[in-house]
Amino acid sequence: MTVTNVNFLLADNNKLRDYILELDTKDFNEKIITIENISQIKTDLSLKTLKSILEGRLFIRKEDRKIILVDIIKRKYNAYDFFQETELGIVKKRKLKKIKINNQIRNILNSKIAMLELTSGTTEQKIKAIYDIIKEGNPEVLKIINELLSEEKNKELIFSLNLAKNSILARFGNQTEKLKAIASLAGNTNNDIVNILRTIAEDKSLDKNIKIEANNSLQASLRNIKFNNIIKTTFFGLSLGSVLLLAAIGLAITFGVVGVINMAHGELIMLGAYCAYVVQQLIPNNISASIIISLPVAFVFTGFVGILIERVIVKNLYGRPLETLLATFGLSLILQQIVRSIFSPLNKTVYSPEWMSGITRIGGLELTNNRIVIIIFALLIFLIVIYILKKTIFGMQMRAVTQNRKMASAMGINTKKIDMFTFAFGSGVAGVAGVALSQITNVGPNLGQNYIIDSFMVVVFGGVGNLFGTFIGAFGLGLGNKLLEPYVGAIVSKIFILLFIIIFIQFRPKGLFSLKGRVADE
Amino acid sequence: MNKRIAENKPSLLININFLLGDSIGRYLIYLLAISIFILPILHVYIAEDSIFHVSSYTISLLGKYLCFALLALSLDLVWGYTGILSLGHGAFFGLGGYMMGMHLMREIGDRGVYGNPLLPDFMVFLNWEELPWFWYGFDSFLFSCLMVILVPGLLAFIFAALAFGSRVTGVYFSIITQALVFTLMLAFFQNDFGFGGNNGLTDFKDILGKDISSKETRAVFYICSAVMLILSYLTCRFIVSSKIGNILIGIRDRETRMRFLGYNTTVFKIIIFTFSAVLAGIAGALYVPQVGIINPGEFSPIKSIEIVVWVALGGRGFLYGAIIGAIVVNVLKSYLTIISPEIWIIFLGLIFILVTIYLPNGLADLKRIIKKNLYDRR
Amino acid sequence: MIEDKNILEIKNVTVSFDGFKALNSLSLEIKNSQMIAIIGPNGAGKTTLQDVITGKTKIDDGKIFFKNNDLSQFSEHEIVNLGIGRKFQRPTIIENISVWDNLCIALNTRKNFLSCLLFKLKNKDLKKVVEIISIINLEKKKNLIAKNLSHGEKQWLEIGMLLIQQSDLLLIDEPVAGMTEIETKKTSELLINISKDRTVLVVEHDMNFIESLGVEVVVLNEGSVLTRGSMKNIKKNKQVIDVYLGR
Repeated sequence: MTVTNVNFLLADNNKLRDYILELDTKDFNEKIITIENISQIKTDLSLKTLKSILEGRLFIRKEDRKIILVDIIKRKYNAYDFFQETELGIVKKRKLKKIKINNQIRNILNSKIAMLELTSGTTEQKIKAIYDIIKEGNPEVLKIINELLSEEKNKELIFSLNLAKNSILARFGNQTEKLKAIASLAGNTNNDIVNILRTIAEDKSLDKNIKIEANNSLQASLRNIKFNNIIKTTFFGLSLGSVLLLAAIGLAITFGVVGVINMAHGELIMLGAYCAYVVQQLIPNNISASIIISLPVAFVFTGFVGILIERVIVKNLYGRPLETLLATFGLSLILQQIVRSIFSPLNKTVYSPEWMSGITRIGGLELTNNRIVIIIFALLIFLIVIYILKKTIFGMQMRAVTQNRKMASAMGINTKKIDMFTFAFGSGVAGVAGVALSQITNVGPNLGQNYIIDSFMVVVFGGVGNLFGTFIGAFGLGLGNKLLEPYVGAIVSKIFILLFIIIFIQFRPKGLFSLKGRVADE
Repeated sequence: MNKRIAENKPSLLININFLLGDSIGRYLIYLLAISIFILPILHVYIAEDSIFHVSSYTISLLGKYLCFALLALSLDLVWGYTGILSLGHGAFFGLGGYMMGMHLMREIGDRGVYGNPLLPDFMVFLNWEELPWFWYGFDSFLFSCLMVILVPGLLAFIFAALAFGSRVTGVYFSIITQALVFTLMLAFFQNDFGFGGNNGLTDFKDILGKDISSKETRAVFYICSAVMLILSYLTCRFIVSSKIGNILIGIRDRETRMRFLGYNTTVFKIIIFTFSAVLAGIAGALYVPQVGIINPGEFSPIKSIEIVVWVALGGRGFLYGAIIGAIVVNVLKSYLTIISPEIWIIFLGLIFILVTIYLPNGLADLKRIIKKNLYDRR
Repeated sequence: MIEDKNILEIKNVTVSFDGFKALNSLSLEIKNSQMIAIIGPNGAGKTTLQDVITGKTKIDDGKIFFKNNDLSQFSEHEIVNLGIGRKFQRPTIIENISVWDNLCIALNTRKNFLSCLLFKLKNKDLKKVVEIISIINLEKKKNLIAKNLSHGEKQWLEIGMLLIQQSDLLLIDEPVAGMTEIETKKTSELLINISKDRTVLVVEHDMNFIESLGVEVVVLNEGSVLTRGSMKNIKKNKQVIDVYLGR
């Protein structure tokens, strides 16, 4: 701030102080003129002054005519210096003089405040002010809105101003204005608008036609709110589903194709997330690039770890699935501890690129960009995996081994090599999933543990050895979880989903989609 | 001829000498029996500054190990003999513990922080007006003991009947047992589930009118744990020495053959699993008064999987192996966590990997490998 | 039991896996105390036939009667206790217990939990075990842990387990696959010996072996019975030569 600015402010503040002191009069006409003067100053402080007067919190201390702002808590007057904002402690009521107002002044204050708020600040602030006006519903402001509407060019602001105008007209306009305004409010999902419509529809003193119109508009709004909620729940469900899909897809490959239970799968996801963190530390200036570079880095790194796991542990235990489960669990403990020792047990932040942060507004809906990106990313990874399985030689050999190991071996496929690469591939996909998850959750040594049971549930629910089943399983469980959540809460809905799967497995031990017949029995 | 053959089939006879040929198990039982007489006396009657005094910390620690040993024993019956890997045995242990914890909570009466004669402190804290229905009856010690057996037993029975009835086996079964224990953990963490949420049940005052932290009570806890372990061991040994033992091994190795020999393997598995869960529940009930707390942490999947490593290290399918494994791992845990918790976790992970790959029969293999190496050197 | 009565009646049984008909309206009647050999090319339904008789696979259509019991009413272990024993292609014995114990768990005694817990080997059972062990030639190895037996010995042990079970109908899947010549010959004698007082159904690929048994042959093709008769007649049958022998 420059010196002149400070001087200006000081001058403004002195003027403001004089005006406030002038308000200490019994002549209400004089007060109105003073308030007009205050509103001409157009600073944050003058706005605060007007609001404080309206709320009855502005006082003048009798002994030194200092201007005091008061918080009334349990009938005790907690005083602050209005200009310096320093706390003055509890003050006795009789030592203060309140700046009194009447109804006329209250209305004037309301419109002056609205005026000040609507003409200063950023678009966001202005919109917020407009929605405050809708909530308070003061007919005095209508004039200002009309003035602003004639000059305003910003579409968003024009929309909000019109909404405010109609919300006021719906209550305070004449018969035709009311009808028109109410009709225009139909379908709006703003909470205050819905309340206004409800009040009008239930007001017995009003004309029948208006009430019918209000009811129609109200129903349209309620329908839209319901619809929005469904969309929102679906979006959350898809978002959770995509996270589950990302977490489970690598497992579906290793479990489904190689038939190996890898309890360290969650830790591979965790390592992927740490790859994102490390790459970001190396390229701190370009967040977008760091995230994109960390994808192949994580794939290669966790894929390599996967090969190590296969060579050192899994290879020794083929045909003994329970032992594999235990050994890989032991490995998961070790991996967690290693990461904890290197990076500390504290969570690390992986920054999101700009195109992933922020919010996308569709109608009355607000969807976070990072979740949208994750959904798209999960689908993309799924399609790539499907493509590799269906269209490449490696994928074909992999499927051959899944369906009939002996036959594949007889056809000259080196099944052991395929096992190793499949394991590496599944692990690599887990790493990539880790990079994606680093964008929506905390990156810490325990990251993997949060996903391992969910991933297993998804794979088992969908049917082992069937990627399509994994896809349906992930989104089915994600949606189910979020649909239940509004009724029973997050944890209980998770409990329900787990119980559902436990019971489901009893009736379809092989999952939703499974191989049938003699091959499957062996 | 007939007589000679008859001598060759001790494993199929009901015989009071069914401990024959189980020398390690027998010594273990003797050792435990001796400890029942010696340790409590050293704890209660020997002056605290004497080197022969057993401190209350030690006796509680030993009692805790015995509870873990009982838990491991119960798992060995289903995993070692029947081949069913339960990754959720902590569920039954925890439930047994909670049942006992509920009784101890009710025993506090109006001596809690809030002094409410009926409601445990955490309920008063949550502004609950009355006792939830499932807390009724727990003021009675006998009723609570009954629940210690019934609740884990019933859960195991229903779960096993569903799972084995629809032929869920192998890793699928393991995974859903893990899901079961995980679900219980989430549920018990909830405050409104009615079991104290996060903090669990604690601040116990006394049991059957005796101060829970007095020397005598601790000694009795130890005696109870040891007696229960001995009785359970003998029962399990009796079961596996009967024809059932071979049938269980048959189910583990070739379930189809057993079915085609005319055995309803599902029923056998349900009975064994339920029995095992009851033992685990009793272990939990003995554990809680000795450590003075039960919280949802007991239901965390890692705790359940730790039980598996005790049995794996001790050696599956010997019964005494599970007991030795539980004690060895927990003694190591006590010492290593004091040195450094990180080392303990790495060590635990390594046990998992090394035992499954190199010591499929646990410590018995270790003995053999060491012997072989010594022999080779000579 | 009356000699000529049918012990097993299979009526129009159909089983399909995902549209593929493993058994296609198959009908077959088998008399008491008779040995029958079943042959047929791969995929003819030989294994599935045994699966449906033992209740391992559920039938989509048709009926199977064993001693006049409708088998669809019974579960696997109940069917066994009605008197059907099954020997798998690969030797399926309990590898980690002794030969003796293998036979003991196969004994046809009460097989519920409590009876097994309190089981005591009675004198008459003891005699039976001793008898069977001599029939299958494993007297010297009775205390050996079963996994240490040779392949052929394992097959015999499994047959011994079926015998001690006192089944009236034995289903035997490829008993001589992987056996040495001497073992094959012994097995052939063993089967002829045991078929004297029970019904035996043998599935086998080895034509010489079947000929050495000298029994009636049933030829399966594409899930139903192509023909049945003596080996001599079967060899001359044009249809059989086309689908099977002629290749």
